[in-house]
Amino acid sequence: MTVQQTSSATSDFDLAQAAARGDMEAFEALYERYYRRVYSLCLRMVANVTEAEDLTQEVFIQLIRKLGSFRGESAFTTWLHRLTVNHVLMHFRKRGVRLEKTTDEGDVPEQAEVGSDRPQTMPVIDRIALDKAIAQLPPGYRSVFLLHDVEGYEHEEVADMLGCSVGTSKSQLHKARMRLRQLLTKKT
Amino acid sequence: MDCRVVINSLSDFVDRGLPVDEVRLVEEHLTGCKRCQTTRDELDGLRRAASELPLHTPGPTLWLRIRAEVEAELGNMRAETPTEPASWWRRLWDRKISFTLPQFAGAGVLAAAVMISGGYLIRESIAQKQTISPRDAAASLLPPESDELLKRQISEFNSRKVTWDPTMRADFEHHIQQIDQSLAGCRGNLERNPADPIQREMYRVLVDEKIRLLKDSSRLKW
Repeated sequence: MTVQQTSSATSDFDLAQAAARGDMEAFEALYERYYRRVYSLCLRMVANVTEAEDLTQEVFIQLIRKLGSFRGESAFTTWLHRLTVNHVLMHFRKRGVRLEKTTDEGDVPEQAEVGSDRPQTMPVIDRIALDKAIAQLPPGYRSVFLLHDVEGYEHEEVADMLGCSVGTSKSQLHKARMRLRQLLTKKT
Repeated sequence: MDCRVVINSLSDFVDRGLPVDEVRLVEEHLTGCKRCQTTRDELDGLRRAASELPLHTPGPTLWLRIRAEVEAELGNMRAETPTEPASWWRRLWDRKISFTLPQFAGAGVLAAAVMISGGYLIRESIAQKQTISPRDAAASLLPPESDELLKRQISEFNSRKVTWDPTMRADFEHHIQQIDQSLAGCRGNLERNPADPIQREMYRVLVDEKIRLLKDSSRLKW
């Protein structure tokens, strides 16, 4: 299988099967399709270019090892995405990054910010500014915000991935949004 | 509803995750509260902007790094894949031979079947009273190169064995001794009944096994 043959017509599943048999062209085609998504997720999660590249590399190495177990029961993108998230979260755990503590009710100890405290309103959201603001969030808030708002996971899935309750996921998402709102307003 | 309570519900509100009765209460509050309306609009804007964030691109060398590592890994995987099944000596050395109870039982049944059918065939061959001389039988058992190879391997081993680990040497000699005893038994049977097809086959198998044992042992790093 050549890269040109695999460039667009071949399904993810077929490429995955070929790559699992050691076909480097198929693996490269999968990389070409998804490396930016994997890297972007890693970069936003860790907020560090070097670390994000290392993690992307590790994810694709993990991918080639695990492709043999991919049966096509879920979409390849979902599977790869989950592999990436799990890898980054494992990286956090190894590094001893602590997600923000919450109470049983799902509230973070810090008080919520109330919009009425500030006279300014948030400007029209610039994507670059938003990316920078996300990078300034504490890792726990950042993870929930990225998984829910950027990657589109439901709270139940986020809670499952992060090992917390749905209430905690909702609470941290709200805190993350309020903090981002504050960070983006400060830029003006 | 108090502004603080409404603010805490706004994320769920924009995500459409509030129960219907709470939605109604929040909407009532928003109608009369400009600041909470602004906060709601900003949270909603954030949510939308987040879902449309562009993808980033890593440095151009990333693929080269990944490819190099993957190719090395695939190379290792290929190297570890045996091209031919490992011999019993290799598996014994690697401690990979293990038996479960059903396997033992199966082996017992198989051995009994082989003995019964072997006895029957021996009786049949005696009854046929074929006349093949022991010399002809021995000559037809092994090709000359096998005999040569065997002698050469044994000679090399005898000179090298003294450097081996004593436990390994004892294991090796024990297995060689077992094969030699079986070979001697086969030879005796063949002298009595040169046409016995089972003994002839056993003899060939034992010689092959002895050669393989010697070859395998020569490849091992002691």
